[in-house]
Amino acid sequence: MTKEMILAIETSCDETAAAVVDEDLHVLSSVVSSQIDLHASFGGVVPEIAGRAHVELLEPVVQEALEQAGRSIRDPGVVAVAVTTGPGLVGSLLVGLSGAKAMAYAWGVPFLSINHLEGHLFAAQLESDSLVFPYVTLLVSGGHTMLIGVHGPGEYRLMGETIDDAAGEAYDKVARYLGLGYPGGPAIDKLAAQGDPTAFRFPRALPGENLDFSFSGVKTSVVRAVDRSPEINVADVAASFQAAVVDVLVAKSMQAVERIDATAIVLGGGVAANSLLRERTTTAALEHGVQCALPSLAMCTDNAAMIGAAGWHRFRVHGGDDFSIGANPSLVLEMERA
Amino acid sequence: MKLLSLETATAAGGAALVIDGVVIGESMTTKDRRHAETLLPSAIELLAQAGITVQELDGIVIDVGPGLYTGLRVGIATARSLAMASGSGLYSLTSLEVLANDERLGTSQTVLSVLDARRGEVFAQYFTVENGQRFPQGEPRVLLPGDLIEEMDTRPQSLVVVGDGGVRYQELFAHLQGVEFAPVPLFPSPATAAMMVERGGVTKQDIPSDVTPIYLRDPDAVANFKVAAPSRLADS
Ligand SMILES: [Zn+2]
Repeated sequence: MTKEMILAIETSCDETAAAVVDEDLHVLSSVVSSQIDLHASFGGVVPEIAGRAHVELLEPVVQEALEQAGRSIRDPGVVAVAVTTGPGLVGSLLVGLSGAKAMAYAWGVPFLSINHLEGHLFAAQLESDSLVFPYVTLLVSGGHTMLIGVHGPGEYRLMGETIDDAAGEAYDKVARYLGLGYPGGPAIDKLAAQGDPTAFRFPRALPGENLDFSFSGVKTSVVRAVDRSPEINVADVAASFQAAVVDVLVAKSMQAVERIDATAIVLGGGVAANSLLRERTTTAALEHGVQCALPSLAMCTDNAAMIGAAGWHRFRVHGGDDFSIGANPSLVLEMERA
Repeated sequence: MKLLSLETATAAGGAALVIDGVVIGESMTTKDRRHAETLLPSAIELLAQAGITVQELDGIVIDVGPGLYTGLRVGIATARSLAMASGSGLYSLTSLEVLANDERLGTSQTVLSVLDARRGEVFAQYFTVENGQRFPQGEPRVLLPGDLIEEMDTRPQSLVVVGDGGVRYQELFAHLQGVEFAPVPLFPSPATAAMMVERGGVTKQDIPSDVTPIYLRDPDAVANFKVAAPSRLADS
């Protein structure tokens, strides 16, 4: 018997994405059209440019996702359409939301309103059938740095978060300062491989039992070190900065795992593509005897398949949403603070 | 023809259902600009009242601007997705031509459509009359109201100004002879757009995803970047 399928759409920031995910959370297609080239010369995402690109790309990307899954926009064979309704850039969210509602209505299937962060929490399930609740997700991106205990669909505990910059934001700012361009994460990661991570001792913020993060101190220290000696070895700075950030991320993740007796540590968000973070998390999980779920690079960064995974949970638990739902740029994920 | 028309180019948005040249219903909201929340529910209600499904429609009609950018994208994404998913045709018109063809205006005078473009500018276009029909003169433009009025000094004929942009800057027109202001419509009406399709002369879009908004302006960042770029080069 053929499996039931959901079409998922994600346009919360600068990726126009669509995916088809089946009831066993297998990804039948996942198309991501990145706008990174459009924004690179501005050193960050420009909301109006993102909105314009989304409206040009939406249906072509959806068509491509349906065709790769063996269907078409006239004969989609899906049981629901899931779409990100927040958080994100309002002008970007509205494009995906408008298209998703219209398609769901025309096809006579429910539409599902999905929180983008919930997508990141379930992304690892798309590639690992063996993941068991509760697990800890370290969500690290340009917008977020959070440690979340995932006890089941809709049952989340916020265990720690950044009190200032997001990790990805710190990467972008340091990269800009070092003249490495945008986006900063991949540039620093690449350069760090050629540097000495012990050359500089940048601060590890908020040690101890507290699982919150702070990255403004390390960023300031980098700026000070470079200002002091303009002839500095940039690769050493990148490697030492990266070591400081990753040390803290991994240490606190493992504390969180112990605290809720989690079965696994899961990475999510754009910074989860960082090679040092992946390597160190793998080693630490092994030492702690827990599973380590590292989604592929495509599933760490923003994509629609993860929205499909969250969509399946919402479809089963809650059913369809009302067509009068709007976008909410500051949508919060309901979490118990622990 | 069974036509569902969607309008989101201005603060006043909504939907209309027109069947064989008869306006079955038009539902507009001017309270706010929450088009993404109200547009599809309004369309669904109109179709339900008439007892027809989206698959039975011959066409979806959409205003592609110029207008307010976020609203345009909501309307166009909705219209394109509805058309592609249901297989109905897609027809696109500009906000300024819909405004000029509103039947409350009559067809005796030249029309100047003016919509408020925010940031102190207006979207504007002239339409002349021939055999009771309106024809656009030139392309839609974005410009300062003062510049629009300056060029009107050399335009002796009488004309009627229509749209919220004209009303907003009405005082600037005070010294001109032969200029009249239409009290209605202030905004393009989706029923008017559908009637224009019904009368013919609006081509069906073969590739719905090619239908995109008319912006007439670069995004702010691009405009600033173009200004900033030469000095950056000079620095290096
Ligand atoms: Zn994300």
